[in-house]
This record gives sequence, structure tokens and C-alpha cells, in this order.
Amino acid sequence: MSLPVVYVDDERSLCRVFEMILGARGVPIVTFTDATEAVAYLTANAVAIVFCDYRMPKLSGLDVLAQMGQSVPFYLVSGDLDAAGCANVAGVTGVLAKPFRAEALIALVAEHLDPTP
Amino acid sequence: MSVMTSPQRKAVDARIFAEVVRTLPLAAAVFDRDMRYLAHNDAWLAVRGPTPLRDLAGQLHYEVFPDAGLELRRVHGRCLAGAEERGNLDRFVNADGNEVCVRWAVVPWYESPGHIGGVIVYAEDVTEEERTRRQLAERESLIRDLFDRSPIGLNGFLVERERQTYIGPLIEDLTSPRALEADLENERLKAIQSSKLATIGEMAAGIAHELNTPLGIIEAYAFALEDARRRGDDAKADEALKAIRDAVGRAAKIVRGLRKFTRQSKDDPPEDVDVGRLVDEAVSLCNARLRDHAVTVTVEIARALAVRGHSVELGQVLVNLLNNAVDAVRSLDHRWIRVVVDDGDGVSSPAGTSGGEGALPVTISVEDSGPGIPPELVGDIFRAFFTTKGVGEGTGLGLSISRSIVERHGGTLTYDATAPHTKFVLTLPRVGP
Repeated sequence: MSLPVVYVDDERSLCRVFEMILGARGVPIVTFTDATEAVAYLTANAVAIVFCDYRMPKLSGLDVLAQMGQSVPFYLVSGDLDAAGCANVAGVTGVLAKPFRAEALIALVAEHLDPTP
Repeated sequence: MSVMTSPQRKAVDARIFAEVVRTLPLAAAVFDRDMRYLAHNDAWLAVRGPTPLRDLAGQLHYEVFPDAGLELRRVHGRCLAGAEERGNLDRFVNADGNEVCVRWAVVPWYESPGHIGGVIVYAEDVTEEERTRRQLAERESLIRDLFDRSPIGLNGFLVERERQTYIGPLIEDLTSPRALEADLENERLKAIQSSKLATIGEMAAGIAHELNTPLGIIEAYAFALEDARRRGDDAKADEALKAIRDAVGRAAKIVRGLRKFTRQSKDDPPEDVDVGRLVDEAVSLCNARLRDHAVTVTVEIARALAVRGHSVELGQVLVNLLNNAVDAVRSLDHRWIRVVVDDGDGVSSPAGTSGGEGALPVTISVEDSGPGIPPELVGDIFRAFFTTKGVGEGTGLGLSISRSIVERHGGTLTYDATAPHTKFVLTLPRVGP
């Protein structure tokens, strides 16, 4: 059983659609609309990769990164015009600017779940 | 059931994209890495002209506008390398040969993470705003000068009109009362428009974010829809279609709100305005700022209520109150805003505040978690040019314009000093039951 993909976004419908999309591909996925719940989960469970919205009510995506207590590929997801600047923050593997292609997320998941080229 | 094929989906995406660019109230153009036009709107041509071409798609920007200076080319170059740049008050000659003041922003867009596909340029014509701002500043300093230099006390000459203080006899000696009224009305409309544009400018980045989110949702669900179709899973396909339509509705609401907000209201006749919808649209426009500063908003509406007037102007009052509230609470530990709409029968609306003849008032209160306004400032907050915000953060016109808008609607806008938190109360004459 491979480790799960984690998707954190206060947009419930985005959490739901990536559950549908990755679920259909047999990829285990855990989603959170509440960033504090995501941090609680991430500090207690090993995961494969994290996608996290940048702008959320309680904690920002960077707060989640700082508090999650494990070093795994971490992608910030954001609809901000200036989110690309966060790509240089230590620990941020990359930035997915909304709106992004579902294929882009699937490709990143595939890359990190299966390291063989 | 019918579902979209991939080319159909791309066509829908492209149409949404084109529609968003077309209806943006700002001038906008999207370029590829070679600075060739991918899309632009009419506002772009109006601000950036003159050009004989109506549609610039595929054209090289520097060939269409050979006047683009070296500095601008450098800006584009830096943004194609990932920078984001903004400028205030640059001057261009527009399609009519007039010089216009333009506020602009250039940001890169990404084809895929880390891979820049080109840049987006936003521009806003702020000529009128800048002129009004300068005129108001000149006028204010003129009045100050009159007071400061006068060898005699001028107090006896002050008159109050609509709670604004004017040097009455001095003005009326020179101008007929009718011309003065027309001047005041003109100034009032100009001030309303310019303060709206200032607000939109402050909110533009947040609004882009608010549009990107539903676009992201549409994209992902369109993909999920293809998945579902391949597997013949009608339930999932239906769920995806519903999510797509919801997201389109959400984006459309923002664009509609913007279009409404930026329109000049003087030619619109008064109409019956649904208060719930008014509050809803104002909150949607402020959503990005609210979320940015993690402010919780609750809206309580007893029942459907209507008032008569200009929804654009009343919306501006609410946006102004909400923006003020965000500014007031954004550095606090507890950040909330509570909007309560009440009919005149409600316990919370004091008797005798009705604006219209015999009509019960609708009360809209906007309360935030702030500690209230210091008693020594309360007397000043509705005065023009009074602001406690930093330079470039507030015009100092919001509350005074809001009050004049509300009073022209036969209502009142007051600060409730008895509330434990910061609370503004707006009453408007009610229409219908």
C-alpha cells in the first residue's frame, strides 16, 4: 500500500474533485478543508506528497509547510497573481497556479509516487 | 446524457478565458513569450491606442506600438523572467490623441510550474481620478488659504449644506444658486466615481484570485467529467457538471458585481433593490480581502426586503463599510464582521428612524470585532478628507460620500457609539411589505 497524497484547500469542491480524479486512478488521497486538521494529520502520518492551498482562513500554505514536521514534496496551490514568488521558499517543491490543468497535478503525483523514469 | 469531448472542453475553456478578458473592467492583454498578442479587450485599445487594427491577436506588441519605450521593453523582459511589476500614473497618448494617466501591472503567466508562457498586462485609465484628486486637493488648500490668510474671522460666513461646510456667502456672491447646485451635483458624481475607482484598484489583485479559483474548479471538474464518461459513471458525471455550473455562476457573479460597481449611476432611474442581494454582492466583491485577512463574515437577514434607489450607489456604501471594517480588524486576534438586515418591526431598530413618509425602515448594521472609534474622533469620521489610514490607503472620502449617498436615498448612516464593538447603522425607507 503506497503512502497517500494529501490535498489541502478550503474550497471543498476542489478537495472533492481531486478525490474523484486520483481515486479513479487508484491513488490513495486524503483531503482537508481545514488547515489545522491537515497539520494534525501530517504530524502523525507519513505521506507521499502534499498539495496545499496558499490562502486559507486559519493558516497559510507556508504555515502548513512549516508545521507539518516531515520532509516530502510540497506543492503550493494558489490563485494569487504573485504566488509564483513562493517557489523560492525553502521546502516548496513547486507552485501550481490556479487555474492549472488536472493533468499537471496527475503528472506530479505520478513522478513522486513512482521514481522510476 | 451528453458530455464534453476534450476539444469541446478546450473550446469552452477558451471561451471562458476570452469572456473573462473581454468583460474585465480594466484594460487587459495577454501575451506569449515573444510579446505576441493572445488576447486583449476593447478597454485595452481605448487605453493603449491608437492603432488601425481592431483585433491584435497574433500581432507583435512592439510592431503594433512602436512607441513602446526601452524602459517598457525592459519591464516586459523582467516579467518574462518571472518578475511582477507595477506602475502608477504613467502617461500615454490614447486612441483619441489625448494624454491619459495609466496605472498598470505586468505579471507572468505559467504554462506549467516553473515554465513561463508569457505575460499579462493590466492597465487602468486613472486620468479622471487623478484630475479629481488634484482638483480636490487644490480646492482644499484654497479654502485653507482663505482661512489662514484672512485678516478677519471668516466664521460668520460658514454655511452647512448636507452636513458639509461651505463658505456660503463668498460662493453665492459669485455664482447663482442654481449653478452652485449643478456644480455640487457634478462634484458629487465625480467624487463618487473616483472613490469607486480607487476602491477597485485596491481590490484588483484579490478579484483576480477570486476568478482564478472558479476557473480552477471548472478545469478540474471538466477533467473528472471525461473520466466519468469513459467509465460510464453517470452519477459522477452529473456531480461534475453541477460543480462546473456552480463555478461558472460564481465567476459570473463576480464579473457582474464588478460591471455594476464600475458603472456610472447617474443615468439609471431608481429601482426596487433587493437588500439581501445587495449585501450578497458587496460581500462577494470584498471576499478576497476578507479571506486574505482571515476575517469571518456572518450575514443575518430576517426576510426578503426591498428598498428603492440606485443599487450601484448603495452597493458602494456597503463595500466601503466592509472595507473599513477589514482595515479595522485585520491586525486583531479576533477578526469578524457581522452584517444584520432587519425590518422596521425588528427589536433592534429604534423607532422614528424611518426616512420615508410613514414607511418602516430597513436597517442594515455592519459591526466588526474592533474596539470602537475613540470618542474624540467620532465627531470627525463623516467629514470629507478625514482619515486615520496611511498615505495611499484611504481617500478620507468613503464615509462622507457614503453618508451623502444614503441621505439622498432618504435614509441615515450613523455610528452607534453605544455598541460594544465598532458598529455602523444604515437605515433606508422600505418598499413593499
